[in-house]
Amino acid sequence: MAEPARTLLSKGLSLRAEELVRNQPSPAPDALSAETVIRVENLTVRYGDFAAVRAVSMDISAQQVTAIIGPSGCGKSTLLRAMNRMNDVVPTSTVEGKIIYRDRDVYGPLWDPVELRRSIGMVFQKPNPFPKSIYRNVAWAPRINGYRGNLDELVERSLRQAALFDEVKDKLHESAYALSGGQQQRLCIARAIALEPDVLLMDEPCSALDPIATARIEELIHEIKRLYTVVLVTHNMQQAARVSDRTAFMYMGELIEVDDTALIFTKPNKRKTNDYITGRFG
Amino acid sequence: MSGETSLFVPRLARRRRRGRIFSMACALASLFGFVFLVVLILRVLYEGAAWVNEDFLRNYPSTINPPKAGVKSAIWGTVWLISITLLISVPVGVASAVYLEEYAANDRLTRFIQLNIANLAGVPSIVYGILGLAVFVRLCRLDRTVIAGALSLSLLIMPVIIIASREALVAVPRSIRHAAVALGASRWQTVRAHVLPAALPGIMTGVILAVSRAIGEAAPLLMIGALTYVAFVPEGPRDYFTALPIQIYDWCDRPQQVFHHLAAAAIIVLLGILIPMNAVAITLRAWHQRRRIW
Amino acid sequence: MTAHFVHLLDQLHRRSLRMASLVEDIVEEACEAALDTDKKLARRVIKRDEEVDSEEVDIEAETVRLMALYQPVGGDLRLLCTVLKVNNDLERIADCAVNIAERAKHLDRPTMEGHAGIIGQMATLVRRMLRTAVQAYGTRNGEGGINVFSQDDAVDALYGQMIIGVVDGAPGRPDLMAGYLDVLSIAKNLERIADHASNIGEDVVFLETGQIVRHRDDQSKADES
Repeated sequence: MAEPARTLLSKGLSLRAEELVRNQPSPAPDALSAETVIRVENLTVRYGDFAAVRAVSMDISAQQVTAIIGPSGCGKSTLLRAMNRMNDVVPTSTVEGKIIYRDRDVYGPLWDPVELRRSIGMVFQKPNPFPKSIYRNVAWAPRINGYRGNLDELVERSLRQAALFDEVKDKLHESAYALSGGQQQRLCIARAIALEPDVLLMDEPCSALDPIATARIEELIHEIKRLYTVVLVTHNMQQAARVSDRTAFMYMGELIEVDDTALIFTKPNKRKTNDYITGRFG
Repeated sequence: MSGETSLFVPRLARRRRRGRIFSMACALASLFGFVFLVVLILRVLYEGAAWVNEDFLRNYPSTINPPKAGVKSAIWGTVWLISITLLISVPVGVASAVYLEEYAANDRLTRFIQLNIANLAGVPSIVYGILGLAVFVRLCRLDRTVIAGALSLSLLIMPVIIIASREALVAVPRSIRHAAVALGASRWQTVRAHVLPAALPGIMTGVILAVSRAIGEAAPLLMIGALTYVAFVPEGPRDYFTALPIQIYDWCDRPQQVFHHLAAAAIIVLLGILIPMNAVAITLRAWHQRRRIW
Repeated sequence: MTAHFVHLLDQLHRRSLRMASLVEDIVEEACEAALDTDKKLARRVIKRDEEVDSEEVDIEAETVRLMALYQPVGGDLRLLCTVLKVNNDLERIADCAVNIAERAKHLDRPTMEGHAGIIGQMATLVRRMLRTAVQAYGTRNGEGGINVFSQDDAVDALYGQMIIGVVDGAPGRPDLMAGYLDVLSIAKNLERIADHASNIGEDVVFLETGQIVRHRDDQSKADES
């Protein structure tokens, strides 16, 4: 699959993994089409005995925003976190099924979770900048991941892409905690895209923000989707409708329906989907 | 609204009175401790202030000629002892806390270890002295040297450091760790760059408390056989030594009044080392805390 | 919030249906007035149109209000859009009925009797179409919606016939020209009512399936539903 021209950083293959792939006798069995960035295959995620995600299969298309909606506890955050293996921090979680990214199973031996998270970044619900300066917030991850280019340029570029640079250019070395909630969240977005990931996972990024900050972030998502594939979990259906190209509806761990956003919101196929989006339940 | 159902009986006056009584009780309790401290210090100052002079600091102790006795050897012994104790106990203690909190799985073994550490914090210091004697002095053949004393003291204060450090690490919000992990950081990178710096004030508090305890402990040092009349300054870790607590203990034991004055003077010297040390540590902690707003 | 909104939606739909009933009534009376050249009835029809106009405005306002305040999606959105469109069509139908009544006021009996046959047939068909459409709208049944436009061709054929009849007969009797024109106008309005009823049918298909089937031939419309 054609990889976009990026810095050395985002190649993301450790030497060993690269060799393993090259030495495979036949073409990789999990090869994805040029359009699909992530394929979820029959994924089940359990916390102990409880199955939070049940046998979910879906494709995430490149350079698009895919929204995952559903009532609380339907498993959408779990599904999202499974994509970059953030579920690993929960000791009781187990995973069955596959998630294919770059033709290899994310939960297989060919993907090191630390490598994976460089290419699949995440923005959390509550802004969580590091207790450091704005500059160091953005520059830290590239530095520890071996970035050899000009850090100042990278920081500026990331902050510009996150529509934050103009507001903070005079106080790059001040504490990130001095920013407002909306600015902090944009800083977290800048921090994530500083690594030039392929995919950006966003877990209810606006739920802790006021409507104006929310609107700015939605605008931002519109712009960055030209460069990054975005998967967005939201409990705000109108936000999914405004921002996404495709929408997936989950209920009680199962994927009920996934389709073009316009279709989901004008004529969904499943009764349950219609009931949810018209507020008949949830 | 006033004049509504009479099911509410606010009794405001009574509640306020109770509040006042409670706050007064708390104030009295704090005052109690503070007053005792003041009384003790004043007493010590009264008894020994006149005896603290340059000669006192420069001379070696002497039973024959009390007026000429000094605490030079004790001061240096204490300094050597505490330095080495810090060098051993702080890295090991903090590293243990980091391991237990960040790396160890939360299984029965880990919980067992943690329980034991908590218990060890309460073990009487003389037990550490006996342990030090058996293991460091005899088994490791270190003899009753500074290094043996430092190792025993390290064991004594390590539980305190570990517990305080663990509390400090636990207090770092998990969201910071998640953020670092989501950026492709290994666990070590996360701990080193974000968790430890954030936990530093708490860790330093633990270290301050631990060192304050160590600097005044006589029992373990006596057990391992520190000497009382030492007319030399230790030249290395493998040298014999004495320390201020021991000197104080010895002088207090003697019937003659003059030795009590000497003891009081030595206590003043000990405080004179301890308080500035703590002040520096507290200042460092405050400076670190100010640099970063939580 | 939702139970309240569902209730309001329901209310709106029923109000729209009542207006449809009213319009059906008016069409029936207009046809009767035309066929019987009943001037009194014609005047009544024209008066009743005022009620339709005012209802149309109110229903539209309420629809816009619900859309703004409740941001409906899915089935609810389609219902509100349909109400808006049907509202419009119903008002036009009523206007056509008024036009028929206006003509009826001028017509005299003999002229009408010459063409009563075709007009009568058209009127019957048109009223049936309207009934089918309104029923489909009430039950939200796409099938019913399709049945409406299958009858449209018959009405068009009758209208064609009427034109031929007038073209043939008028040159020979120039003194009856006014009458001919009136009758032609009545037929034209009936044909337009049929078209609007077809629109309502298409709207109901959209309501049920979300497919917009306008401007297509009958077969593909049926396929979509």
